Amino acid sequence: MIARSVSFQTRAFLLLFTVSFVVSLVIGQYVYSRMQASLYEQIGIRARVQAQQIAGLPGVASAVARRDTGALHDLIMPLKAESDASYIVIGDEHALHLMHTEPDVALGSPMQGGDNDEVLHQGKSTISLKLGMHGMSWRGKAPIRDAHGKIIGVVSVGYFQSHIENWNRSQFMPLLALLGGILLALFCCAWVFAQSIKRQMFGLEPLEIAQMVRQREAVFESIYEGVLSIDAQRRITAVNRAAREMLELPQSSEELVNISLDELVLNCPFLQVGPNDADQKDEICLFNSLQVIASRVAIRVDKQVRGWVISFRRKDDISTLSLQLSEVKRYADNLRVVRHEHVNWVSTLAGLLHIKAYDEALKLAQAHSEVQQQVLDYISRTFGNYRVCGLLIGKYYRARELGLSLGFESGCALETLPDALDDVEWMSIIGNLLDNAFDATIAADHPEKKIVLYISDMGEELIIEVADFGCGIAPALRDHVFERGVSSHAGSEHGIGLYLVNSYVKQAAGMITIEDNIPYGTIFSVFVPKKRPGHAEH
Amino acid sequence: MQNIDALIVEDEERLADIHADFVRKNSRFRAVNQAHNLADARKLVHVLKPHLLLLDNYLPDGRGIELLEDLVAGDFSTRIIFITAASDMESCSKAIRYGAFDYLIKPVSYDRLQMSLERFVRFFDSQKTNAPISQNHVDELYNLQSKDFRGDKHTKGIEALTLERIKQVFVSPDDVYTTESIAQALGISKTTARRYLEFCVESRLLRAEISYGHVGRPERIYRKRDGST
Repeated sequence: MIARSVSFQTRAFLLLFTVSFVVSLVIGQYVYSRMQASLYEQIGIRARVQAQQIAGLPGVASAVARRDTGALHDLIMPLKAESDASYIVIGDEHALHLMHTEPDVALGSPMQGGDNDEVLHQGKSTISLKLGMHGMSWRGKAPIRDAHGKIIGVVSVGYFQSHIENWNRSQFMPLLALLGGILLALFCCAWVFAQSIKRQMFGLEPLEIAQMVRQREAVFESIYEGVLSIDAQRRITAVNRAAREMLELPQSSEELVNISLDELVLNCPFLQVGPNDADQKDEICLFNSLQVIASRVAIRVDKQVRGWVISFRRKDDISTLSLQLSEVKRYADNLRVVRHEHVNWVSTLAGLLHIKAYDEALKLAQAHSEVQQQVLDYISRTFGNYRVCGLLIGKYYRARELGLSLGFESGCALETLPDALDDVEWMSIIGNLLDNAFDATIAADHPEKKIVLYISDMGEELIIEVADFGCGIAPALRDHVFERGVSSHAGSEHGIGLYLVNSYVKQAAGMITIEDNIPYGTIFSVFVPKKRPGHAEH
Repeated sequence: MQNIDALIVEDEERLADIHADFVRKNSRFRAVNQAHNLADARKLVHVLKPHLLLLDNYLPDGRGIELLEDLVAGDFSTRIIFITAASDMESCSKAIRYGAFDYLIKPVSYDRLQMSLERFVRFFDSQKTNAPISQNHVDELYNLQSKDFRGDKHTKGIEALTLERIKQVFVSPDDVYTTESIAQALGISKTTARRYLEFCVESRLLRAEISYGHVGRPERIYRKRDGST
């Protein structure tokens, strides 16, 4: 099949060229035939006019009446020399030759063609195409009248067809050249057009494009992130399944196209983008009642913003992820330490029992669990939220494993967490601040490996304060610690924790302060109002 | 008085016996049975419907925490005292989340277990009371559930002497202090200063404000409230 084997560019070119070729051929043919018809007409008229003029010449009628062929010859031959006509004939009232400009015609012989009757009997001037002695010719005829108006002869002025065709051909050549020129121009245009289409289609064949579109659609539909694209007027141009599910839209993708996004997601400044807005990555925002982390990228064609692609996912997913990053990842290497400790402990216990020091053994056994039981009891009775308790227990032991000590400032008290954020987000705040403090303390060379935590919700605000005796934060970095990706530590997993903490705290209408600890280290303090005036979340 | 049925789940049989003996010492408890693995424990819970479960986390065929999850998901009135090793704080924090009645760390201190059992008896009895539910009753239940040793948090860690010194620093409402200036003035740590200052805010002696001090970073500043003494 041609469609398969010939490239789109060639096919577009061939089609364009063939169509324009046929069109120009038809036009050329038409123009040519019209030209020919009008040429014949013009020549006929010219012949007739000349015939009429000759018939009216003074001397012609009298010479015919006298049958003075010599006078006629003298009268006509100069005219013939001036005229472009092929021949001039004068005949008498019986259509017999009185004079012929061709020398080989016998005088007195009958005129050929049989087209003299109208002229001789009705006195009309005529135009006709007839076969004469010297071939086909266009002839114009006019009657010759004597002084009384009686028809006494006929003038015939003729143009050989072969002669006319020569003229015609000479006119046809430029036409042909013109047509040729036009065709050449069309050829070039078609080629350039085909190429520019090819360029606009990124050098792809239509089949490839179709396949790519299907493939992209499938990819688009299958990703877990919600993705939607809008045009410059914020009308939806495409939306995938995940986006529809997250936004709980019952319509199909096709039904959503051309609907304004502002109707679907109300009051979200992030989505009300104008052409001058910058791309944004991982913003926490509210799509209706759904909290999402969203990014937006402008679609630019020729440096003009033609629309936006917005991708988003549930914030919970990311919170959980960040939590897992800070929590779970670290447990693996702890086991070995714990086991080692345990083996030592059992050996000691066995030794004490062996020497029958039962009281010592009992003390050792109980002392081991006693401290931990006390910590557990302290945490669980001080902090009213089960999840926070779990987190703090984990962090307490994590600190111990790292050779640090996590202390609780006396007066810690937490009944309930403000519901501006959910438990997971609160845990992320506390967990990240503690992790930071741990890192800073490990990094520092100071002998005091202590982190002090203070959480209180006794006043009108919830206060979370994490004080470390670590390496502190360089003044240059201090203004940027909440920016995404900014970290005083090397490594890829850093730089997101404080960014998250800050986003959450802001979202809960709270604030964070950073102070230097005395004599060294840093204090992060988070203050979040327990009640948000005039604002109900969840 | 109704007896309290207790089921002991512990894979170490010797230890299970000791637990059972200990529980039986309290006359209110009946140690109905023992389970040494998770599968038995599941069956026994469904058949016996005990009031209390002493649940060890490490069992040969799974974790005690799984049983705890099942019980939370199902509609059981069984309460659980969760027992786990000190190294397994993850399970412990999970158990806390699932609302275990209490959590003990191995090796178990029998004094601590005794406290826990006594508290359960009180919890059990007050649940069985047929008296109309009053706020006091609800509070009492809640307190028993979330430990009865909650102290008075408001005055915890606050010494009158230090508090008095802080009060003396704030003379007029025009004076503004940060934790730093208070810590320096009184020679205490910043965290302690914060605790005292916030205590003063809470008891409406001081007012806390945000100040965008040097280089635009927010600072929390404190000043005396008008009309307070």
